[in-house]
Amino acid sequence: MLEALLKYPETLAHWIVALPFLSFVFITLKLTINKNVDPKPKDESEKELSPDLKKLQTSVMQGYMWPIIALVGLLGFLFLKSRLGEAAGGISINSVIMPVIWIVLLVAIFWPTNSRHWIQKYAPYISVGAMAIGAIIATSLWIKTVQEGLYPGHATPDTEIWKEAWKINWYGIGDFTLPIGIKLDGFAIFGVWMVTVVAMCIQWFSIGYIWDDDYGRKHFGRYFAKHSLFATGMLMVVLSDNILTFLIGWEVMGLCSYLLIGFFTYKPSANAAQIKAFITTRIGDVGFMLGIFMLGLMFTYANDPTLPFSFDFEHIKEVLYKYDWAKANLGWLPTAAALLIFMGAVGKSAQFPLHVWLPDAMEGPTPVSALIHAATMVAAGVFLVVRFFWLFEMSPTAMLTVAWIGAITAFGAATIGVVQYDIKRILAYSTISQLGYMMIGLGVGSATAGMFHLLTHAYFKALLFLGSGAVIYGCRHIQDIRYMGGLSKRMPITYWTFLAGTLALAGIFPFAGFWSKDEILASVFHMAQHGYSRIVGHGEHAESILMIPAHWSFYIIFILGIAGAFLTAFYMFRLIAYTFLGRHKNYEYRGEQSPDYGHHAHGEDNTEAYDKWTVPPGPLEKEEHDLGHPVEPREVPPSMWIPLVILAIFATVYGFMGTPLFGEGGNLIAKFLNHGYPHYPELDWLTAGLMGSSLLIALLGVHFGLKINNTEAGAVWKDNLKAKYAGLYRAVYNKYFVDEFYEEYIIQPVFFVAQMARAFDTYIVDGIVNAAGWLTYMIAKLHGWWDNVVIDGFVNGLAWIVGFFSDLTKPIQSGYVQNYMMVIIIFVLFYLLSLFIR
Amino acid sequence: MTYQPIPVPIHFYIYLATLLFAIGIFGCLSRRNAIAILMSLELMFNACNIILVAFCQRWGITFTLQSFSRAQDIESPVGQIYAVFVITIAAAEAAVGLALVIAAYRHYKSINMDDINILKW
Repeated sequence: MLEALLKYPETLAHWIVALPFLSFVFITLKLTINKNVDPKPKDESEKELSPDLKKLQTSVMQGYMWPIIALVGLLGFLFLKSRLGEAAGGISINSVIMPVIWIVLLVAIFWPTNSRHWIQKYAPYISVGAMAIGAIIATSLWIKTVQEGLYPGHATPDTEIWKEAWKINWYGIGDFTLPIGIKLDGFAIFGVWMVTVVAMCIQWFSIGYIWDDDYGRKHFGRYFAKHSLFATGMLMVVLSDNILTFLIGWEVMGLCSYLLIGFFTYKPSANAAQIKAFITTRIGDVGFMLGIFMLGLMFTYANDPTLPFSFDFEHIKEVLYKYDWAKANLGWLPTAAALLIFMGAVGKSAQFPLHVWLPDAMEGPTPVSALIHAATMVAAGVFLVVRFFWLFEMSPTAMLTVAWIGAITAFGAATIGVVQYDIKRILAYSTISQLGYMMIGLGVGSATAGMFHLLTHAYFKALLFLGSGAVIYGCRHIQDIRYMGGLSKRMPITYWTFLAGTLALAGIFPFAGFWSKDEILASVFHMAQHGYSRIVGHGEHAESILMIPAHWSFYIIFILGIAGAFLTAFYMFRLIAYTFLGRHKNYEYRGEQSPDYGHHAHGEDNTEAYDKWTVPPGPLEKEEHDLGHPVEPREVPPSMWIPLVILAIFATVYGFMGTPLFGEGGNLIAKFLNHGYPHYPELDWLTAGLMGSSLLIALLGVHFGLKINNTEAGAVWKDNLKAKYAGLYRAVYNKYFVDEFYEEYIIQPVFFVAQMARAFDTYIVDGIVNAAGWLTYMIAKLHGWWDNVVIDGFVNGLAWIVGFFSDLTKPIQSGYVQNYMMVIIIFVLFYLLSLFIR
Repeated sequence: MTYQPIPVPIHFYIYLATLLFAIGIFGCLSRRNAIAILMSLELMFNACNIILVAFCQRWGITFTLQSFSRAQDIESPVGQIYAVFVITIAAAEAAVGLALVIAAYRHYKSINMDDINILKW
């Protein structure tokens, strides 16, 4: 069946987007509609909503549910009808999916918290199932792509048909139409494969991790629904062929990031972190929006009536390439547009000035950090630059900005990572650093290398985050690595998979990170030697234009990158040493005597001691008390280590796709992930030398990381270094005071301005309004007096006079009918008389 | 010589009608019984009827009816038609009036007009 469906790859791509979305919708509907499944509360301690509020919620839900059910039905109908049989015409799923997304988001605001619904328990099967189907589809798409060699510039008639068929008008107003569709080039296919596989593994892992938590168990459905919605957003970003749907997916991801960081709603730190993350990325998003407006402005300047404005990437590229900006003295326009769009990437990918939100986002559940803040969403910024790479190519300034921001971030975040103690924060700074590497790759003109590193990084960083989640699970929610140690014996599967991820991240030879990081460094070296040439045209007509001449300063980027590689290896093996190797340091760190259960000698590196392993205090004290003996650290269950193993396999072998060892035919990355033309890194002496040196640097980092953190002599040396460079240590430990700087020089001034504005509002604006109100009140009082006394007096007086006279005359009305008749007759007689007396 | 009826002079009718009308008015004004008042009203209606029929006989227009194949002169029936209408209305009025009387009786336990005197102010 899959074989038949593969004739319509975009259909499958739509399914990949829609499946997680449908599971999100389904879980949401189940959570919100069938609320009376278990009327008797099992858990009395659970806080119930007040009946009034519940009623309100129910009515709101019912009000929102029916249009959604209708739209979901429509969605399914359109899917079955318009897409599988007929290639052209009909309505694409996108046109239906967009409004549904926004309506369902409204529902999410009024989310009920029914913790006893069966969907809470079975939601992950839906989410993971959707992602698994998506992963299967994406894998088969990838296999087909690789087998048939389809990539941009190699379009077969079939691909041309897809292109035409999958472009539909979302809507049109007058001459303005809004075509949207799916772009299935190499970037999208590799990206979709990565996103679905990683998201599936992470959701799979989440089942055990979230179920372990009391709060998470009650909000299981909500968690997985939001995960699915997030996956929808990311897949939409990867598959979009236009800025508009790209931006929608981008914002959905931002929202889900916000919601999932604050998943543990009772944690104030999580609430603060989610707000920080949202606002910081929003600053970047403003730039992104302005960049899109700038593209519109460029259309106005280009002023070609045959090519009206469109959101389509290819279309914008065509128009912008057609016009000679430098000749029209408008060279600043592409630069400004590229830099503004890069601002969005800086916010989302946590690059240097806006990187502060990512470490704080670690307050969310660990699988959320793995999916959103390591593998996919933060990589979307890089993907944005990849999609607009042709725009950056038009401006050397923009390219160099990207490269330098990436270099600063890569090195700076790596240094901070060296001194952190929170297992997740180390990985967060590592993520920032690796995203910096991707930006370097893009900035020196190698979209291939940047995207390759994005993909490998997604696999191994998701693995590392899940591994840290497993460690946290095993240690019962302790995150400080100083409390850990020696877990390799107790959690072997976690240890070996984590080690695979660490080796990949550190850049050790056969693992994935080695190939991608090395390709980035090679690109930097290449740029420093030859400058950057932009290649215009395809195939025979290709010619290269020198955009950025070679300059010695690019070697600084190279050196920063190499130094970052050393630090990466160092802090990762520091983490390994603290967490998995050596002995358990919990009591030692807290300055307490380690309880001695028999033959364990204190202070000895004795693995036997783990039979009597002592557990961290705090959360487990009650458990310990109940059991009567210390709780052992535990290995994660299969549902959690199987995803780790899958990701570990990827982290180990994925890099071979981009190796220059196999030559042209074997280098799938260079073949499919390129910007318009294939670029093969050749295996010559220079490349080999660079590979060797970067491997050497990484091994040096590994050596020092283990030596300093895992031996007694190293510990002494470390303390001496700390004492000697106390100021530097303090600066790095406090993350270079960037947060404090923002607090002091940005947040406080903004608050001050806000206070001033508030004072102005309270005293001046409100004063004017209140004075106007008071004046009106006084005038009204005066008017009221006039009205009450004079006007009403006149009217009442008149009425009194009338009443007086009517009292005088009303006895004429006797009430006797015959009197009235008499009067009538008399007057008729008078009338008749008057006729005669003329 | 054929028999020629001598028409009754018109003023005879007028006298009769005036007399009837005067009796009706007198009855209306002087009687206290509501049913007697209604009866007096009927007298006044009949006075009107007599006038209508009499005037029509005396001054009614002769006209040619052309809707039949053989043209034929007939006298105007307008007065008689009016009289029939008046009788109909009088009957309706009597029905309404008697109903009112019954309603009033149920309310006041009396049909004496002096007792029913709230039609004022």
